Amino acid sequence: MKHKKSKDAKKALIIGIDGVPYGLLKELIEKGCMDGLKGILKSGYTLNKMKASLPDISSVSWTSFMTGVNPGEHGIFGFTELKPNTYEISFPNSKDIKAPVFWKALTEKKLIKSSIIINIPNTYPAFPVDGILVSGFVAIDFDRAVYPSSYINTLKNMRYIIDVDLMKVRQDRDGFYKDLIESIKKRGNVSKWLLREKDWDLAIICITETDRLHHFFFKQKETVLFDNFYKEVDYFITNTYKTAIEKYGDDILFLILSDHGFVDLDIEVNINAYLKDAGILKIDKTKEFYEKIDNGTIAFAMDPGRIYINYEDRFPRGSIGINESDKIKEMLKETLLNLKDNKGNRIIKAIFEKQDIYKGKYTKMAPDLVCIPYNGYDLKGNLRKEEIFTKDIFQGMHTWDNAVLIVPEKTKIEDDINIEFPCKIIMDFFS
Amino acid sequence: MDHYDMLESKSIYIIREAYYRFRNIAMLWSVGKDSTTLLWLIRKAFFGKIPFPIVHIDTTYKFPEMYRFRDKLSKEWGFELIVGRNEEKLTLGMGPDKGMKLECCTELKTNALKQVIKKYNFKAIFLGIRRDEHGIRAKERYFSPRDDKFKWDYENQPAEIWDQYKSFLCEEEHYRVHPILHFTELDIWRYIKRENIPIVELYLSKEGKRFRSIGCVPCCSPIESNASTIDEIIEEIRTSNQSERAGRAQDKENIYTMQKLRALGYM
Repeated sequence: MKHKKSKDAKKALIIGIDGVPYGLLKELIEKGCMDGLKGILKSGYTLNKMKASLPDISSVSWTSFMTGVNPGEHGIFGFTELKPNTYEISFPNSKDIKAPVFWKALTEKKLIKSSIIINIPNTYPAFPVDGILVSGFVAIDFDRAVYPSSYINTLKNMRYIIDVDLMKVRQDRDGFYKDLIESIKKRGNVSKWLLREKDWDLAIICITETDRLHHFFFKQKETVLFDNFYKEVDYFITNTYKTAIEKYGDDILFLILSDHGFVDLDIEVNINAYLKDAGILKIDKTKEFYEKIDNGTIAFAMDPGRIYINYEDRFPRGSIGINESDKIKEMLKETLLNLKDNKGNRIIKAIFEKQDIYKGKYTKMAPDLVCIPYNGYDLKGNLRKEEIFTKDIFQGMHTWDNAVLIVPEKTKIEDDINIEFPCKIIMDFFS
Repeated sequence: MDHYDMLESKSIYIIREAYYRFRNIAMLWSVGKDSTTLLWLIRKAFFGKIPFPIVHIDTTYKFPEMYRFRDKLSKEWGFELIVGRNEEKLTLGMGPDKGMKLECCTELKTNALKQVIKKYNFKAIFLGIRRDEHGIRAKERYFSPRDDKFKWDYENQPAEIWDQYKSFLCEEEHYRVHPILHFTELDIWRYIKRENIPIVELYLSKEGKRFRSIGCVPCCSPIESNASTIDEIIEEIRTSNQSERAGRAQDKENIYTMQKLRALGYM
């Protein structure tokens, strides 16, 4: 760090590669599909394994990255949530993030002036920033996904797209794959233009196409389909990095990270169907979504492995008293750990209690238990499916313990890092 | 004057003012209770004869009861009905469950309306929206200008000071006129009761369920209710703390969010 110029000249570029697992990235580099990145690594960076948030969902993990704190402090526990004291479903978005994002803290401390923030999941609706922010998944309305609004037309004219059409993959896999490639290219072009034309101190650019590829094509990871895709990713990374260093020199802070890993998905496990069979969950079929939860329910699940005890002081049709808590948790753990597939293999590898994994004043919103499955078993929290085991078109599933972090080799890395850690590196760099 | 006379005369004043300013005007009729109430008020304002066309935007996904009601009422009341459909997108299979781009509402409602406005060169459109029905609508004015791209720049609206409604506009714009903006949901039902305005039967309870808000079949779900008369509905709403649109999977954003999450295997 001693070669830094003046304080004002500090610049950081962070590239997000959604859903890229450590092992796969390493293999693709070794295989020669990512020679640009290989070169960058050789010039003084290390590739590290990192843990995602719990649960290992993009909106939760990226929010932990953006705030540097755990869900107990930032209040995001999934793509879905229940409104307080109801079973009414809601979709948390950027407005629900309870902790400040780090660029806000850096701006307030006058450590940075201008930021370029592109496509980080859970930044919709776009919120004010000194610079520009373009929201990522789940951004619905283009006009509300761009701050300031003066950039809307420019981005539209550049044919920037927020997300590919995810339904297309069911009808046209080739077309969908081409869309993903096209989408990375567009993100690359827009990023390059912004990095070149605007003054910035901090730039964070995410690609989410990697996650989409993995959801639908992960079992083809050893084929040319992945090789070609990752050549495109490599071009995006290299080109973005080069654009930054051409402008500001190579003493910028440069990081690459993913928000969770991926493995092959063998089967989807509908936890609620299992809980129902075990008499733990009662369903009223005439209702919608989580309103289906009926009297007599002890616990229910939400995506992916979030278990909520139906406490009487938390839910309208709750029946469990707080004094029964320990007994119920033990019973649930035993029941869930006993869940086996038809070959007799256990499905759930670990179950965490909320007080052991979350800290902060929003811990009370957290699920009571969080389940981590063995590889291949994708835990699902819907209430629609009556079968415990189902199979859809998905080929990959998220994992918790094999996300990626690439940092300058001088960075001190502890043994067990998680996605809150990169924020610390960035804050330290600017301070 | 009682409360409902006041609500009524305010609406009629706006309706006549708008008709005087813009002869090339139409009303958008969803067949729901609010716009049917507006239709009733327009009929009253012009002594039983509606002097401009009534536009129904047909997504083709409406309830059969709604189509029957529409055709029956237009015959009985004798107004000119324009049915607007985005035929091009419908031919391509656009629909909420068709897995096409997540643009069903935009294409089948907004763009269909755009096409009608363009075709008939309407300068103003009456809409039956109410200030209390949705957060974003709280910012609406009685006269609300839209540009040619349909954008509503709510931070840059002409001020409506006292009763000086702004009803002049530039070329290429059209006005949205909201004569029942000041009605609440409860006002609507009490006024429907007082005037005996016909409504679609879907609002009344059948087998313990009724619709509190109606639209396209795939995006509406009924609420639990035994209210099978207008009086019972009034009592139910008076005592309910549920949002009117709670039964509509709606809030367009929520529908889209849900579809996107499902596409990735969530929910």
